[in-house]
Amino acid sequence: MTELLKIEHLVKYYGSRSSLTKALNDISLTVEKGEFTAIMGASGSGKTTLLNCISTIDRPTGGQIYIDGVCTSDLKRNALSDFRRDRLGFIFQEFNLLDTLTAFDNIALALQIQRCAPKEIAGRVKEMAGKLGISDVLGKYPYQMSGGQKQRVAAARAIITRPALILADEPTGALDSRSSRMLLESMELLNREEEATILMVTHDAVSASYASRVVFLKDGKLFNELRSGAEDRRVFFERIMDVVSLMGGDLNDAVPSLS
Amino acid sequence: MLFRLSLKNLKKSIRDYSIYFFTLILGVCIFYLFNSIEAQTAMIELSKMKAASIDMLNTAVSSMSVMISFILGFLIVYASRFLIRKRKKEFGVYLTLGMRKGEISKILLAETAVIGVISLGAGLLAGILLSQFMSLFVASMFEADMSRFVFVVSPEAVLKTILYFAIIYAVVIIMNTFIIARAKLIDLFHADRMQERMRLKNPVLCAVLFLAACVMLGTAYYNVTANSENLTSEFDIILQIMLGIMGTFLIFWSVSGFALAILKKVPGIYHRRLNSFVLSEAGAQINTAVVAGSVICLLLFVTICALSSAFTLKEYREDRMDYLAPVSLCLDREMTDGKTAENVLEEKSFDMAALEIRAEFCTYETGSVTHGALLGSYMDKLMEAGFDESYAGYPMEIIHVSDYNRAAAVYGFDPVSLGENEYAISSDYSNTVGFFDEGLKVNDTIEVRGRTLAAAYGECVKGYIRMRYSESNMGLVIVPDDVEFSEEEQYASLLIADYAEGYDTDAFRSYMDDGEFEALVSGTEEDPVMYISTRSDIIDDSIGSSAMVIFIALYLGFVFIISGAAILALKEMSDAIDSRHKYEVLRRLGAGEKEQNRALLIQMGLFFGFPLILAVIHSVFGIQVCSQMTMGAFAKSDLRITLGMTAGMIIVVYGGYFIVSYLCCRRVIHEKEK
Repeated sequence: MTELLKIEHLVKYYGSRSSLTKALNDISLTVEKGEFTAIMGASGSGKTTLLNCISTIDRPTGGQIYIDGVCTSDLKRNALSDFRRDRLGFIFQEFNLLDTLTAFDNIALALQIQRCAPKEIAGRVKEMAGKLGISDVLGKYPYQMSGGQKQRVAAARAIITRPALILADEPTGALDSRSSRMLLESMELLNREEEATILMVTHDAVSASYASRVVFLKDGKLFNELRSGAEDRRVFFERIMDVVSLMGGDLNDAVPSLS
Repeated sequence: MLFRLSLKNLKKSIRDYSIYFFTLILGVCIFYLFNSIEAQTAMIELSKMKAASIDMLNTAVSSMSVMISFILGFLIVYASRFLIRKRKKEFGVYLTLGMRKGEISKILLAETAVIGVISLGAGLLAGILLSQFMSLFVASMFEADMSRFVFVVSPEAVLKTILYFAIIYAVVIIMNTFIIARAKLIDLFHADRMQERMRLKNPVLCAVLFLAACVMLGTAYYNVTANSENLTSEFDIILQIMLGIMGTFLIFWSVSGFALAILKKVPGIYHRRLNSFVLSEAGAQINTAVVAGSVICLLLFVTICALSSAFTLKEYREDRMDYLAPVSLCLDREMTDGKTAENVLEEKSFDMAALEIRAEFCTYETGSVTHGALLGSYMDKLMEAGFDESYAGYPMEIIHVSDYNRAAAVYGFDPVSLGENEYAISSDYSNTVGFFDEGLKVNDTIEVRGRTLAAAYGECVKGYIRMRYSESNMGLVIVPDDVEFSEEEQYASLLIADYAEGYDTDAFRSYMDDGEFEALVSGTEEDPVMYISTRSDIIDDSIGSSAMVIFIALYLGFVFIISGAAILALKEMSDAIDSRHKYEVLRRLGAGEKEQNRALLIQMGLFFGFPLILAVIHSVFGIQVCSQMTMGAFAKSDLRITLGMTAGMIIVVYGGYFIVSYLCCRRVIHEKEK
């Protein structure tokens, strides 16, 4: 196993000296290639800040982040764009599909930005769509698709460039439970078959239980970490819930409703 | 308190307002510039004829200003509604905080008042400064000398500008109050989510309509140019205009759907770099601005045609002076009292040394030579077409061939040669030329003083014996010298002369043209009128009227281009604010800043460029029609200079708006979304 992501003493402060918010307070974390990692935490625990720092959208106050051996804080502006283009894939909570483009064009856009040869594009998009079960919506516009379909299109767009690291920010946040399950299963499949390295931020224990490893964040610090062994997903979910209750009431909404 | 809030709001959104603000200042400035032309001529030396042209120009500008104020008013109301829509959420917050709608209206009122006062102030200041340069331009257009330089401010124009714009701003305030009063809180909150709905159009329907539109435009283009002889009734012409408008509208409706459907089939273009994004965004923009786009396209079209024909007309008129005004003076007097023009001059003791007489002769009228007699059976056709019966009975003016040839030699026309029993018709007024040519086909003999004469030529001879402001010889029968007329049949006495050496001065020309000479030669009311036409007067008329046309075309053109460009720029600004998140997505997908700028530039270029391109295509045909209308079918003139000037003006104003809004939008998309 190789280290794909290595975070060393990451610190991110917001605000002025008089009112300082320590969003991330000395975090060190390593993710191996091919791992499906979930980061859990209540709102305000710093999980989105962590993701933004990793994704090079935000600059950390201190500490280092290495992705695939590259130290991201050393990169200049244009190199940063190229780095995002070539190494990272994004899935957002609000899908963020471009509403004037069809599903096909949305997925193809990621390849176009990589300056992929136009004649290769159709084949690659169709192949990826087949894997994610969205072949029949390729010709549709975002407003013609369901939330789950949109999110899988977004996932396809994130993955098609074969990025070293896929970053997902609450990908199931705007989905109903059935769509969530389908998306998470797709992500699991990509992780298994394509050996995609996925880092997912979530506050939902069910979503987290699809990952192979869950990292808990509280008040900007690492709180705990779980790895799913060979056990069933249900068992892993129980273990996650134990940690959640241990963390206190902060993560109440992680508990799925009793239905 | 409320006032401070509105000031803060203004400062905060000054960037969104910058294009609006700039347009207002420009509008005020242009309004003042053109309405103060009269004052600007105060320091210019003008002949009576030129002064009359400026008076007419002033009246025309005044009445145009009413229309212009409607256009500007529409633009300002549209733009301010646009800006309010951007701020609905802000108003929603005020309402939930317990502010009353009336108070929000007051905030808007204060804002409009501040904007109004500042834009009026700045616009008037700019207008007054620019009008100093404008007077140089006016002087050069009227080919007059500036006697001295005075800093001129026209209080009437200032008051008029303030009044007109105050009314426009009042309408804006009323509209704003109305919008706020009608708005529901829930809608205000969701305003930013209610994006202009993406309406998907069926590509097949788009293709069909696009082709239909092309056929419509093609038909209209063909009918107004190659087939223009078959356009006889007004209805036919209106039909072509309607076809053009419909075609333009349909093109805007269908172009993006059609073009995108085709481009998508070409992955080499569509799936290269950010092209799919750029094309779809531009397509969606054109789709949400079909009406605005068509109107702007037509405004640009009218502007291009008006400007280029105005400049062409000026050149054409200048070229025509050699034909219309080849000698210094032509006097013409009816001979009811038997006196010739020269008799009158001597009687009034005019200094005959001033004139070098080049030709002097009489014309005649006789009962047997009437329009009806000349036109023969063609007259019946004219009467069927609605000509009055009395036209047939009007006598034709008759001239001896040697007299005509003398005049022709002076004026520079081809001489006429007649056999013993032949006659010819001379005319240069295009309608009557047509009639007489038709008449000659059906009837080529006339009876004069008992002699039967046959036509020597199959058509009219082009020429005249009286100098006039335009071609106006409506028919003259040329007969052999040995046809004798009685004294009663004498019709008019003509005297054609050049000014003698030493008399061809500004002072003498002014004496001849500006009223003194006329006062000298005119007798009592019973005496026949002495018609005076001078070369200098005809040239002044030509200069004055072409300058007038140019000023009006410039006035309309500026306002049209500014209105169109401002609407496009405002739409681009608001679209850029709405699509910030799209560029955020591109950023995360790894598109660099340069790549994003390129995408924005191409997309805006398409949106700005498309109406202009279609307008230019329209103009290729429209200009031909305009030059036919203003100069007759056979006029050829060099269009290069005039087109260059028109293009220059459009590029500066329209292109200026494009660049400013590109820079503003570029800043917007690189901001982080709040």
